[in-house]
Amino acid sequence: MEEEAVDRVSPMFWGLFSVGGFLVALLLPVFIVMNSLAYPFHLIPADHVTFDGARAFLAGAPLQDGPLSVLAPWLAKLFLVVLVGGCLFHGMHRLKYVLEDFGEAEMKRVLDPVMYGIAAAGTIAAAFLAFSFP
Amino acid sequence: MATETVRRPYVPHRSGWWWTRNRRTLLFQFRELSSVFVILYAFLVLWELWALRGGASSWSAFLAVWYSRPMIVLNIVILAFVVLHAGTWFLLTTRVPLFRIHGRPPPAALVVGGMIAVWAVLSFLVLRFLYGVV
Repeated sequence: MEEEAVDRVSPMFWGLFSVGGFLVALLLPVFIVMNSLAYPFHLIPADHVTFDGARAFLAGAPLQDGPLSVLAPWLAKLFLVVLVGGCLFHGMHRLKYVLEDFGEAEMKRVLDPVMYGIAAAGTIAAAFLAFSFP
Repeated sequence: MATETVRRPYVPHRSGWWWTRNRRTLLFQFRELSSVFVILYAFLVLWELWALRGGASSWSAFLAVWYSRPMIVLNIVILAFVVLHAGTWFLLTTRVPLFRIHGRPPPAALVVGGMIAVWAVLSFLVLRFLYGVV
């Protein structure tokens, strides 16, 4: 009896889609407010957004002198990488099905590698960029 | 002489605009399109990291664009779509009971309330430990 091929790839992307959905829902709102809107709406002072302020954020400045100082060098960077990766793997998966619904179903063979490839490349780029800072 | 027959196989045809004909599928696709804004924000963060890596002058050029009026408006639109995503995602979690109480799935209000509580705690932790503002 011939065994049916088990698709082990699609469930993995559905899993990443689901994890990304939680990350986008739980962490992205507060990050967009702090990263894009807090300064123009005068919720944080200017020294948060200067060159030194932005680098201090990546260096985990609020953690450096506390009991959690061991987390300081990588927590903010990891946060960014996980958030960017979650956004991309969630969003690209969803967008793929939108494109299929718009009548591009026959392009599935092309869409899969393109969409997940962009998500993977973006996540890797985020990791290289974020961890290139001291 | 054999009669010539014309074969007309049934070819299912679906217009690329089928989803506009029904209010429910229209709303569904709009919610799915929120993924475009999530992807866009991920790339904006990559651009931000790239600018920060470029040094102080590259960062100040970036800030001039980042805090320009069209960019602030775009970020408010992105935040609105992300909040739409978060709300519908929290409602979605009520459809997937992860545990049971006396053999029944937990009430939807409990699940949504729990998700909002987790969201509030995580947002507080980000503000406290990554931004040091509370």
